[in-house]
Amino acid sequence: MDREERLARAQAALVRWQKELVRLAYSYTLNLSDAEDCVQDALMAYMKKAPDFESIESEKAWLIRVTVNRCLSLLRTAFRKRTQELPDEIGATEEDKSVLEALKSLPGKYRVTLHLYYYEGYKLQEIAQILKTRPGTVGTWLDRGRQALKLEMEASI
Amino acid sequence: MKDNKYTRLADKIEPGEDFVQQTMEKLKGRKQKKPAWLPALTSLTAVAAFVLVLALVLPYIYKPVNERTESGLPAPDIQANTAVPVEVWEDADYMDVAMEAAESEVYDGFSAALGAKTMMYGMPAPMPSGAFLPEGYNTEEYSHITESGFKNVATSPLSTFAIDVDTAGYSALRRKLLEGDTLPESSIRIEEMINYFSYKELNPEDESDIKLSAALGSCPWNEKAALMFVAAGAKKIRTEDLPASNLVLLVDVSGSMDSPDKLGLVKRSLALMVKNLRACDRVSVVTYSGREKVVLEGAPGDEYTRIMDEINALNASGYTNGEKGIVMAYELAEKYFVKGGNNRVIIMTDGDYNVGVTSEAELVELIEQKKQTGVFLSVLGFGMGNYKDSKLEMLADRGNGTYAYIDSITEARKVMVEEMGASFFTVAKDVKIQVEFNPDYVASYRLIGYENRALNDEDFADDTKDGGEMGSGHTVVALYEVIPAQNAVIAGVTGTQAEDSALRYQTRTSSGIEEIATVSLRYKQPDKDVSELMSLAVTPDMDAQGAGLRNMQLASAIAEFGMTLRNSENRGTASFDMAFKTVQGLDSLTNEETELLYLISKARGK
Repeated sequence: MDREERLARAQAALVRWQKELVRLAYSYTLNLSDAEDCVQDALMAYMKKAPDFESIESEKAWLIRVTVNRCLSLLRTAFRKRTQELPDEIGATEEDKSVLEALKSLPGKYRVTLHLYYYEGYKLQEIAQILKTRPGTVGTWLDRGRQALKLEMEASI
Repeated sequence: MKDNKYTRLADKIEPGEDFVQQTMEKLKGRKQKKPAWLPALTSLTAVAAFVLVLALVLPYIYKPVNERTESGLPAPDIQANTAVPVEVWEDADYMDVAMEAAESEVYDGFSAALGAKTMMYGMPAPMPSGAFLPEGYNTEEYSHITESGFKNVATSPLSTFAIDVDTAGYSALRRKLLEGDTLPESSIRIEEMINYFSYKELNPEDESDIKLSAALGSCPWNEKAALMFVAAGAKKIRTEDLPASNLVLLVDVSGSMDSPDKLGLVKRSLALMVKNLRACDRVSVVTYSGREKVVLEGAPGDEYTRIMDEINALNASGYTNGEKGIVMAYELAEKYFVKGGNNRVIIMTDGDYNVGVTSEAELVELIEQKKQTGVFLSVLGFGMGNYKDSKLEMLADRGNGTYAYIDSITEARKVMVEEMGASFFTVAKDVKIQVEFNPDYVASYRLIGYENRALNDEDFADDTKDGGEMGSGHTVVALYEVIPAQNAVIAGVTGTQAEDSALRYQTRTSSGIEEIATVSLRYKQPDKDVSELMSLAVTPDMDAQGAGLRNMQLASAIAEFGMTLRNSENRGTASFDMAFKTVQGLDSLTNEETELLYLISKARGK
């Protein structure tokens, strides 16, 4: 595959998944510009590696995995922008602000698990694959995250 | 997605406005490390080329002087220096011919340098002679479009047009918008934009060839009007059931095609297509530049390596003589004719014919004569700069063909692989639509787009008059902006306008039929000469719902986008913002629709 086709594929993936990926990265970084950076990095990797996918869903799963990795390494670096996102910037209501406060008290892994489960609708098994851990662990993270956020949802883990 | 505190919050997280734009730039710019010596080299090449042109042009300017001084000295032998036959010279403008000659002579080294530059910067290359022209100069041609405006039902109750399933208008527009180019108004064909997209539940579920449908809704840009959505969907043939193909690929290899986004893209697109051919298919390849050449004759479709070896070996140089190539391609198509199969000539070109039959009238005659043989034509346009949209569209129209513009490998995949059935397998030919409006309900109407597809009312039933072609699974959508008659209600819009009684000798009595309009469609099966008629009554209760409503919203948003781009006098309150919001509000956006959103935001930002 030549450069032009790889570029076209990466651009298509950008247009296709930008919102999902930025929201996912936000759940980890809790900061919009950091989230955008991570997604950008993931797309650069996509263009460089140009992996072949059987379906559009596996493309998305790959991008999610890479975005999560970028978020992890971003959180590890000492130089990362420590600016706090102002809740008003995203048009947050009072309820949202309390959710944001609760999210801040959780480790990133828990937040991303919540996001993949509730927002992207992945199953525990799939989340475990994406986060490279065991389904039981994902269940625990999800449970704690849910308690912290006081989400009284069905407990069918 | 579940609804809870968390998902409600996550829904509010939006990437910044310029996120997509910035990321696109970043992706593009990854290998943009320009070596310092490269610009210097390019300008050097340009200077060298200019000097060469001067050297070539000067003798011709002074040619008359040379002829006058008949001192017995032999006149400089101009013919020996050039590949151009002398008879062409007499009619042609000296400058043009000199450029042509320069192009074919200086070609190799020069274009190699340009090509290298293109690859490096990831930008489309100008045509080689573009280096002689001032920056921003281009010689693209589009035919002028005059919008038809509103028609009074009392005086013209019938609206007749040939369908248009070409998508070239939209892909050319996309390329121009993405590159930040200016858009010539006449390059914007709204019906092609609308028909680029896929609509739901419009194709026949039973065995019939075509399904007609219609729906009514309000008009977002004109509160006094309603919208009438008319659609025809062709049956979808499964890939494995497609008849054997006899394809003749007619590739333009003239000098102007020498650029990665022209011949380069042609090769890569063909590689995608040839991969999907079967042993029962036949492929021939004809090239044309100054002269036509048969490169490959009747090869079985599964001999991928053999076919692609020939295609990959193609080089572009010389001037263009499209006529002979077309004649040769049709000859081969007839030679390998598959009865009941898909016999088709596929032209791949930038459309820049400059020698041979170049007047549109003669080309049309040639193509119309050729289509009697039962061979269909597809036109694939490539490249920018000297792209002749008007010629290409007309060729496809007259030759029972389809026309697509390939701006990227992604578009090639869409046209030549994913929608191969629709692009290259005709299900119905000479498709025409006629709508009769009921004056009890409708005061006036306006067909959006289809300006160059309008037919005379009497041509509808005339089977000798050409219509448009529909491929497997194609859908065609037309939108009418309809002003209701006084006190009549269409899609919740009540007519207020008093009846226009300009006619002195006509009196009208109500027919009493509770229909807004009748939509009629004529088509021929691919191998028949007699048309079949089908019709559908549009009744006041046909308000768009469910999938129909989504179809209508999408089509009307695209119409708004197109009218705003064209700055149409009929645009009313249409705006980029409104079009954007409508598309954004649709459920489960497809890739194409997401891209449309991006294009609208790009157009708005300009």
